[in-house]
Amino acid sequence: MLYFPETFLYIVIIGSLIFSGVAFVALLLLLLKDKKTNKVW
Amino acid sequence: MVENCNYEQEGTIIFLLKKKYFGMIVLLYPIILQSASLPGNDLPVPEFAASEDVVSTAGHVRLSWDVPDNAENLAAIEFELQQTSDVAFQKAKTIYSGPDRASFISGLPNGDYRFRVRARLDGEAGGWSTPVTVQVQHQSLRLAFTLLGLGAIVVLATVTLVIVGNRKANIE
Amino acid sequence: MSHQSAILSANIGWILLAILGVLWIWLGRYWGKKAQSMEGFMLAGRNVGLALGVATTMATWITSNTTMLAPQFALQLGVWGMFAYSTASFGLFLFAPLAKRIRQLMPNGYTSGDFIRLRYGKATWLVFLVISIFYGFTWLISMGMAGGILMNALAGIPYEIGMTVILFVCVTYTLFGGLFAVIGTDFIQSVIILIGIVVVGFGIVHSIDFGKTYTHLESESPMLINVLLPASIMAIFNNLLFGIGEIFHSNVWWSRAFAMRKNVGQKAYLLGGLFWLPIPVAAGFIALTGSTLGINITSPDMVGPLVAANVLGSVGAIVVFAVLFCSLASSIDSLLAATSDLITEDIYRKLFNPKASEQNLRKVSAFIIVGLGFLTWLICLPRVGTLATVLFFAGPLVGSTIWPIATGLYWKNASAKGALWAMLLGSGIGLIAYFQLGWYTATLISAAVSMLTVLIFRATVKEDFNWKHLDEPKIQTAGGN
Repeated sequence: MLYFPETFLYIVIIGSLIFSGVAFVALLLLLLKDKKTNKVW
Repeated sequence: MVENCNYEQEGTIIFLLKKKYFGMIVLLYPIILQSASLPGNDLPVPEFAASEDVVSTAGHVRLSWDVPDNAENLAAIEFELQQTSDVAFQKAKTIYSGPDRASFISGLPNGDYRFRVRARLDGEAGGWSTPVTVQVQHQSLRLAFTLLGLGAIVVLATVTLVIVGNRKANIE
Repeated sequence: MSHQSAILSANIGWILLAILGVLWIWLGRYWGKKAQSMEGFMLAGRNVGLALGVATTMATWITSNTTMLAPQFALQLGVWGMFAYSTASFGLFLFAPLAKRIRQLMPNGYTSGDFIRLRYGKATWLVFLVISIFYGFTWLISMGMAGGILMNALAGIPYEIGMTVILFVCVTYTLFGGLFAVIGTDFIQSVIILIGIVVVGFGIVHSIDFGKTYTHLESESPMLINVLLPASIMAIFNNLLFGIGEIFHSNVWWSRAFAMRKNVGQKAYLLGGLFWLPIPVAAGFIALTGSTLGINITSPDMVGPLVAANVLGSVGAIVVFAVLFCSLASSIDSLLAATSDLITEDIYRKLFNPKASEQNLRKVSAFIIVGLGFLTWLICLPRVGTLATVLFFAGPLVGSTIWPIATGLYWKNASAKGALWAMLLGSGIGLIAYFQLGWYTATLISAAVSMLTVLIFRATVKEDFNWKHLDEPKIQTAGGN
């Protein structure tokens, strides 16, 4: 059987967790930027 | 989003409560008596909910079992679930022990798997249930790749439609 | 649940339910002050900025299905299951240019139904409405049921009460604040969901031995990490097309395209899709660690919460509870708002009362939100499990709308008859495939048939649509104009 390699899975999993964290920060920064330019709504 | 989550349909043993018929089954099928070792206690013998053997095309199955309602110490009873690939359970391994009455098993390669379950209470073990056989036969890779190819064509066409349309709209 | 005990004490469950419920309702009232006009209520004033745009796209697409089903997919279909789920973000990517186009062609549009009616005429529009309302309503029911089942499984709160509370909370704040409340709460909900997933994910990575887990999978459940698992490979594009069909046709996504500021829609959908992409893996992988940790799974749809609670204790359970509540609420509110818009605008205003005033429409729309919520509650109450399977019929139905919608937006010569037959033939043959060949072919075949139908009609029927017909005048405001 051809398996997904262990390191590949490790990188994908850790990567997606980190990326979710980045998305969280990015959302807050975007809101801050919209607030400054008064474009929230 | 909505997804097709009925993957389990094929592999799932329908949860039929057979408690009522439990006694009858024991009477009607002497084979149960044969396969169930008879220990010197009155722990109930659990019974799988599946009425017959199961075929799974995705390598997963949900096993559930039950004991008669009138058994003593019902709440305190634990169960031991064994899996094997041989008929006589000589290479059997215990894959679950605890109070739950179901277990979901996945990732099985092609082959026949046999399961049996028994009740346990205070270090004593009851008789084994009638075993159930799960036959895992994954769908053919040829079918899988045919569908993959057809899907790729439709999705690519859709992507092209949107990209080209968007480009043209931008020029307008 | 086959004697699976609750993972959180009922007291904590009640407290969480109360806090989150009161918070959403309060926010709904707060934002409701903005939602006085019809445009405000239905479309949040057509002025939504990028941050809220991205968050609402992401949060709405993260339903309980994502946070519950991604682990279930991983458990049943292994690594491919998670990846296949991630491809659903494709629908958002592809809709991004459509969102821009929609805003350009229909600066005063309200619903996806408006588009189909103006572009393809009444016959096609009626078929579309049937598909769209069936889809929205079944999705709503499945979310309501999921809410009750989850609260019950997580904290032992009785099914009827959990389901009633979550529906009541969503109906109330949507009623007060319209799309303002829906989008505003979506932002907070996305933030909570993201924190929750990251905390639980890293918590689990921290407490397991990755190498040991891998070896265990290799020996006990090898198909889960197999690159060539047929069941997963053949489902990939079917699921992808299901997702595209859902997004392309549903008014949930169209109303957001109308609501966002000019030049924001495309970016918001692209970023929303990008931020959504890692979620199924980040939330799903924990299912693969279950068997190594010796956790018995009695029912595959509970694997995510079970593993999280087992590894991270009550903190994990609380986080999971909050994440699931947010995922459910962010989708239920969107569906309530978008489906009621569709019924108010397309059925009430267009079919029964074309001269309805703004106040009148506002009242009707409030009435419809309550009615929808009540009807959903009534159908959810008996907890008929087989109802959920009805939702799977939606796959071929929505798959058949992809090509009529996309060509309708980009091709002048896409014909009304072509669109009508594409939806009818696609849905019909797709449903036949569902029963004759298997669910994993249904959406794929429906989309393919619909595509071919559109192409054949394009080659045979001459049509030259004038894009200006899509720009309809606004709803009359109270002042008369």
